[in-house]
Amino acid sequence: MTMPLKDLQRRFSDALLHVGAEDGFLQLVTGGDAQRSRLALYRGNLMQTWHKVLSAAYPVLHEMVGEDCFVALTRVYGPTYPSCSGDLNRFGRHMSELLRAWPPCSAYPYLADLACLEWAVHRAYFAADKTSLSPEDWLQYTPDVLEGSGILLHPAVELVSSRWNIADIWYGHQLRESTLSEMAVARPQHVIIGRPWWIPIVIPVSSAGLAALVALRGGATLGGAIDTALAQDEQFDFASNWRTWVDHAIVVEPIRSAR
Amino acid sequence: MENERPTRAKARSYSVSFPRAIGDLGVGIGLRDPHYEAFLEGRPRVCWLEVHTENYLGEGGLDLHVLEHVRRDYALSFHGVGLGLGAAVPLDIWHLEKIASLVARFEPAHVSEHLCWSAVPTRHLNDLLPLPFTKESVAVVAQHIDQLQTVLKRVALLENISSHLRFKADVMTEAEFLAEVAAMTGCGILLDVNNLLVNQCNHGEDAVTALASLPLSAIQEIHLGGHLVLEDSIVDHHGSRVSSEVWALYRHAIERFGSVPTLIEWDTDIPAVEVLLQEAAKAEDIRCSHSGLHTDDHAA
Repeated sequence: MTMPLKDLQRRFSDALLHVGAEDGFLQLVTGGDAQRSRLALYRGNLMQTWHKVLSAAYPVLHEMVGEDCFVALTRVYGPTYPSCSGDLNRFGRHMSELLRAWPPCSAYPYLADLACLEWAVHRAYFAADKTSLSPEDWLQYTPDVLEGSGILLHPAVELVSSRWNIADIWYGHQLRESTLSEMAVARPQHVIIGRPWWIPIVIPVSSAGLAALVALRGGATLGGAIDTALAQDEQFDFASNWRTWVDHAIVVEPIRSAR
Repeated sequence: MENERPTRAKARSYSVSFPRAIGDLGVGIGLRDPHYEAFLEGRPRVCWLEVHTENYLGEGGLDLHVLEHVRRDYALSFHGVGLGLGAAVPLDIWHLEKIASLVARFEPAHVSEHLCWSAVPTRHLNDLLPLPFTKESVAVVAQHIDQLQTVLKRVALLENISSHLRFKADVMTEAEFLAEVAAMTGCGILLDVNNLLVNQCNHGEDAVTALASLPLSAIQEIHLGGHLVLEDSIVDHHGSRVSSEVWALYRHAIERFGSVPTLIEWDTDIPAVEVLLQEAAKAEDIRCSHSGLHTDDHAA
């Protein structure tokens, strides 16, 4: 009797993930045991896909840990956090989770936060398009009107906080390769990821600046967001933060109906 | 091998009246991101562009921007690599709806998927994995392609794949499998000539016989690409020029199926657009020598 398709596919999948499961699967294949090296080609494809996709999403992490360690990381990641979609751009979101738990990286606690930053950059690349008001367009609104309005953030905007200087590390790698520990310092950094055109950008901001954006995203008016920032830091420089948000298309337009 | 042809009753059980693409598109090339600049800054002389559907499932960003740009000047073919129509699990509805949304937005001339499976209930394997050619597989693929065509409200094409493995459970050839699914569902067939040659080398399946088993009216697109010869297998890596054996087989295909729209695929070590255009010109020469047309008749 022929094996049901779902069982054959399960055994194929098991044979790709576990070398120990390949003997049983090969009995279903024309040529049997002699096809072991051909089955290995499919296993190689799977591992290459994990490596290629994760390397594309985490280029800085890849450079920092080096090729051998990254290969080992991808071979733990793939079986532990299975791909759930034919869209491979959705594969890899658990990397920071794995790095926090993976013993070989326990001496480098900042890597998990760096992975959060890289995943945010990755998400920003594929986020929806939205045209933001130009600096001149924003001037048509009086400060009173803006303070009483909510502010729509660009769909690509991501907000990340870390107790490590992850933005410095990320920027350092845009300029040159560096190794583990070379740049990492236990200094908190807060980051906005935006996408004014097609390539995401990373902007370090103060804790209060980030809190203001978190408040806006949560539905606060601009006045309420400023209050939130001032509660964190009496010296919060709203004018300079606002200029950054407008110049880099972090803010799109006012939302009149905000509370 | 068993080769039961579908009955009328079977054919009636599926939606077979979706519209098909009209006219001969000519010869196209695959649009990959190393070529974005060439297509943003100029208008390379090619009839149409193929893209991998899964590269455009995002909400926005550069890839969709480039696709909008090229769509103004070129017909498109959406070639899916991730739906996995042969899996014994339900199709991913999110994925299906994303494809439908892209198809509605860009109105491609063709939409295609592979005759393969890619997922089990607990994970997606993101590869074009071979199916056993059994009646159960026919039923699964037919049901899923019918679901796809119903969502898209148009004919989809199903492509033969290259494989390293065949199953003892097979009761028909891949060509017979495709013919049966096409008859049951009204889907078209995307004929990858390179894959026929790869399977001839890997499994001893005669490629010319396979061509003869495919229904004339169902072939709507042909793919040509390079392959890599390994020690005990051949891989369709799409990383080199089309081999002389594949060109010879392509001539057979054109003689049998006529001047079918043809794609030059190149996915590994991607060269400059000009190299792809040279390959496209060769394909166009072969098509024209068959149909009596001049090459310029199909130039963009």
